[in-house]
Amino acid sequence: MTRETRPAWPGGARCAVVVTVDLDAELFWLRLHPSAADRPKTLSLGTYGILRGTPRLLNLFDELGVPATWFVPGHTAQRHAETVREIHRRGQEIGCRAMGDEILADLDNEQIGTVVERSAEILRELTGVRPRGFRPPPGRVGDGLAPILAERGITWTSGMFGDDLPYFLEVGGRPTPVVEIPWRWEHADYPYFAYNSGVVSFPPGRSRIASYDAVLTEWTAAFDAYHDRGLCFVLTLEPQVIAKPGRFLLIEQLLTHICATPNVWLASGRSVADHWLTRAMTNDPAHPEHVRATWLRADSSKEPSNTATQP
Amino acid sequence: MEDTPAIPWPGGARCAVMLSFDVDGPTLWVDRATGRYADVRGFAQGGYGPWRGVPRILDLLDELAVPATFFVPGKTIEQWPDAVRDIAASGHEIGHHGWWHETYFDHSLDDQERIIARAQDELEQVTGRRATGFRSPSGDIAEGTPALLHRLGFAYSSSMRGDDRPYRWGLSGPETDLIEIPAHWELDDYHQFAYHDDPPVPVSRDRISPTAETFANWRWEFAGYHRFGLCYVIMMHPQVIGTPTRMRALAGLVAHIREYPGVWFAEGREIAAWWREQEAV
Repeated sequence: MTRETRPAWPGGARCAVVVTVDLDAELFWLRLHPSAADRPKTLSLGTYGILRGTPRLLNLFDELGVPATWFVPGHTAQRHAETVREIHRRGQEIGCRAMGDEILADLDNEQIGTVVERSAEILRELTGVRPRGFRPPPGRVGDGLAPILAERGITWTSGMFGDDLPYFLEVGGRPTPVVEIPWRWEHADYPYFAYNSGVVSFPPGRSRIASYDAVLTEWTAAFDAYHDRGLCFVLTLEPQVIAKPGRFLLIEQLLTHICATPNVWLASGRSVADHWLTRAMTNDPAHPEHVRATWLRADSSKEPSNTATQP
Repeated sequence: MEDTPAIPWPGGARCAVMLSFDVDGPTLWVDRATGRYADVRGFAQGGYGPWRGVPRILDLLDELAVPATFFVPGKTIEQWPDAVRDIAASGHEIGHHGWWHETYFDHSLDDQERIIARAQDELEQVTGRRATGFRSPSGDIAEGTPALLHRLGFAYSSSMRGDDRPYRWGLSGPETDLIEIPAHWELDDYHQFAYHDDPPVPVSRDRISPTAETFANWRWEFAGYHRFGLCYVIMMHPQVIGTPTRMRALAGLVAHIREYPGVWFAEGREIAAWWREQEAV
């Protein structure tokens, strides 16, 4: 007897794996400090991800047959159009990441709609395809995103937490057909590895770069545990961070291990979302997404506000 | 896969290795506007580099018979002329690294030129030679810095982060252009090991990385650089790497690198000259 039930995955797979890539490039640094725009050395950290990181990852994904999803902010797409076209030509899914420099919680619904429309159109102009996946740029996100996204052709997102399985985003206590594929900080590369000293510093406290061996062990153990429990393992990569020569070997080992494991459904976010839409469109009443969407109902006749309280 | 190296390094080598040491000394621990120190303990941490670190490093390099590049601020040259002469006499390259280890981004181009002239004069007085290599001290350079370096006759800079092999700045024709030899934070000892309480280093007072962990990272990186045939640049600081423990770890790393076939250990000036020659053809 276990309290956790195992979802059915396509083809009888035991678990799902979604490899996501955030192609923030220079924007990673431009977000941190206004002076970054005038700092060629700092910006070159981001450019590395375009020049060396992306080609290396694309080759690896080709070789291992990994259908990844690349979230490309509008600003990156404008700056590096040819890279975006190449990712698309290589058969990888491209998702929307707004323009990339906005904090969604600070925008009203109309502004969010404008930003999503603009950034999705930039990607469509480059690839001929409107993105269907969306990952918010870093920073707080408010309520009510799902209908704004759905109106603009977005059918799935990957920006939330709260589960190890996909679920349906809710508005006003009702599920919408927008599927969320939740990720986790500890399965992303930049909290371990991204670094810059000086005024545009990252991490802000300039913590040490983590042990590569420890991170590979961590991610390998994580995948094994997700596989064991039949869940959806989401990896989040930034080419400027993970495709440095040494870290590339690390991600190559991890993905080789995943690909060599039997009964793994390695899929793009879009495929996982499409699969999830074949299920009943409902979340458990105790699911954090449903609880959030009904959180303030007892206190107020109004819809929940999008102003988060700081702890 | 990019497995076949695209870069024809000299003598059929598969990759290049540049061991570099930034001999910052106490400049990291003083106010760069006035040169004053607020804490004698921090000053002593800095002084450990030229005092204990440099001789140990030179002995180790002799023993291993590998060349290295030392980027030395003018103030270190002024205070430790014997150590700097010893570096030069041992045949290693000495590059420019500011006077007070200034952040070039924060200085006008005129100021940058004055800083460079002062440190170059000091280096020439002590060793008889001026530097042809530049490494940006303390973070960012300014937009105009590369053009200034080029005008002042520098052959190369080793400051940027945007590639894992040299490149040209595109400031003039192929025979005269400034070459860049980029380096990376993950191959920098200071940001893994340096520690102090006041001023806090790092600002978060994060844990000190164990020596073995960071050197294991550096081995991972070397494996990648060798596989792709790139230019592996380690940035070390004698005040950090010059401890008995880390000297031993560095010897182990170099021995490990030597187990790989086709490794070209070179100074910055050799890498820059070679790169210029290849691309000029």
